[in-house]
Amino acid sequence: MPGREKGPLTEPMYYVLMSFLRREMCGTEVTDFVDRKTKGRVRLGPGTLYTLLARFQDEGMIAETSVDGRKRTYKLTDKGRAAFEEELARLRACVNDGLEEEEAP
Amino acid sequence: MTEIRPIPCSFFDIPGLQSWLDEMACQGLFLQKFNFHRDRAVFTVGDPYPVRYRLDPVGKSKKKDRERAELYQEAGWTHVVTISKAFHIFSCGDPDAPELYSDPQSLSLALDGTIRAQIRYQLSFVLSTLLLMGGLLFLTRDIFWADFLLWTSPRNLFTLALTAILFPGLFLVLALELRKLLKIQRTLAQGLPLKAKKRWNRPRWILVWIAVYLPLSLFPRVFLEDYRPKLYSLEEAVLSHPWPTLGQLEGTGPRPLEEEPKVDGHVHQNDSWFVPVQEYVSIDWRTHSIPTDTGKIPGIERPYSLWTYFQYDRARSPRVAQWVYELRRDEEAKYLTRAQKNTSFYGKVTDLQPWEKLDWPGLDRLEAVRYRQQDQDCWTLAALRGNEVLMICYVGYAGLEDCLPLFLEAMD
Repeated sequence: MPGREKGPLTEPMYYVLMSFLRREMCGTEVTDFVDRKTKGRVRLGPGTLYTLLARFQDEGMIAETSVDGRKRTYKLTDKGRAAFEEELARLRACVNDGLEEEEAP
Repeated sequence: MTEIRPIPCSFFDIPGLQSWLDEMACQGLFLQKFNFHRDRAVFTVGDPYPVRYRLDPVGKSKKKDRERAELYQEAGWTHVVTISKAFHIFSCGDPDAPELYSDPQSLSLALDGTIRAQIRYQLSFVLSTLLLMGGLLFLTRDIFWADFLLWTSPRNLFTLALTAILFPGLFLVLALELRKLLKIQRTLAQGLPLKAKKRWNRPRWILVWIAVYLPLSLFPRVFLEDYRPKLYSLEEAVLSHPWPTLGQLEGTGPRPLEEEPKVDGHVHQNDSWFVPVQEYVSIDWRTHSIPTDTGKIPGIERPYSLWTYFQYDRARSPRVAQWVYELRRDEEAKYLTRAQKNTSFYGKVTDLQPWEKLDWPGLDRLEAVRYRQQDQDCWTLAALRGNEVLMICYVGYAGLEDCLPLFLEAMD
C-alpha cells in the first residue's frame, strides 16, 4: 500500500499521525496527546496543528468523521496508517543503524 | 490615541515584521491596522508590555481562515489585522501560550496559501493591466501613431514610452517578491530558521516616488513640449511654397472676385524626423460678425463666405508619406462625421457625401468628399504625390478640379 511519497515525516507530523492510531480525535485531543506522549518535548502550536490536519486531510491520510460546532473529529485512513508505518520503519532503521554503529568494536 | 509609523521592512520579511511589531509593543505601540497604501502602520498608544505578533499565511478560503482564527483564540492568540492576499497578523500577550507554528516545516506548508493567493493576485493584476494598456493603446493608436510620425506632442509619447517601460518593471518587482516568498518557503521546508532582513532607513514610498513619479510626471513637464507646432500670422510666416491666394482660387470658378480680398488667417509649422515639412495654412474671408462683451461688431460686408485651409506635408520617404496621407484623411473624415452633430450654424456639416477616389495625372492617390457648411457647398480633398501629402478644404464657388492644378503648380 502506498505510503507518503513526499519524503520523511517531520516530528510533529509523525506524532499527529500517531495520535489517531487508537481512536478518532479532535484537534485539542491531538495537542494533549502529543504533549503527554512526548512529555512536553514536542509542543504543537495551533498554526502547526491546523496546517497539518488540513494537509493530511487533503492528502487523504486522515478523514473527518464528525463536526460538532467548532469541534472537528478525524480518523486515520489506510493511507495515513501506511505513511505512519513507513515512517516508523524508517525511524527504526535509523535507530538500529545508530545502535549497530555505536556497539561495533 | 493613535500613532502612525512607516513600516521598515517588506510584508514578506516574516521575522523582520514580527520583531518590529514586538519592539513597538515594548514601546507602548500596539498594532491596530495598516494604511491603504500599506506603507505605514497605525498603532494604539498604551502602557508598554511584551506582546508577540505573529504572521499566519492566508488559507484557501475565508471560512477556513475564520475557523482557524477561532482555534487560535482558544490558544490565546487574537486576530489583529489581515494583510490582504498574504498574512493574518495575530497577537498574544500571554508568554506561556505556544507559538503559532512550533516548527518551520509546518509554516512552510502553510505558506502554500499565501503563495497561491499571490500567484492568483499577480496574474490577475498583470493580465488586467495588459488588457487595460492594450485597450487604451488600441483606442488611442491613431493619436500616438500621429505623434510618433509628426512629433506634435513629444510629452504624450514620452509618457507612453515610460509607462510601457515602467509596467514591465512593476511586473518584475512582483515576480521578485514571489521569488522571495518561494525562497522563504524552501528555507522553512529545510527546517532552517528565518533571518530578519536589514530594515529600511526610509519609507519605501520615497524611493517609489523618486523612481516613478519624478520621471513620469516632472521630467516631461520640464523638458518636453506639450505642443510643438509654431503659430504664425499669414504675414510673418515663411511658407514652403507660393500657395495660391483666395482670389486666385475663386478666379477659377464662376464668380471671380474683382480684387484680392483682405483675409484673416494663420499658419502652423512643425517638423519631425519622419516628416521634415509640416505646414498648415488657414485663409479666411467670412461674412459673419464678431460677438463681443458689448454687442456685435459687424464684420466687413461680404457677399458670401470664402475660406480655405490646407495641410502640406513633405515626408522623408513615399512610404511615410502614405502613412501621413492616411492619418490626415482619417482625421478629416472623423472631423466631418462629428461635425454633422454640431449644433452651431458655423460648424454644422450637412449633406455629407461618401469619400470618392479620383484619378489625376501625376498623383499617386486622390480622394475627395463633398458636403455643405454655412449653407454653402464645400469640398475636401486628400492628395498623395511621391513623398508629399496635401489636404485641402475649400468653401467657395470654385470646384476642386479647378483649384487642384493651382496647388499642384505651387508644389512644382
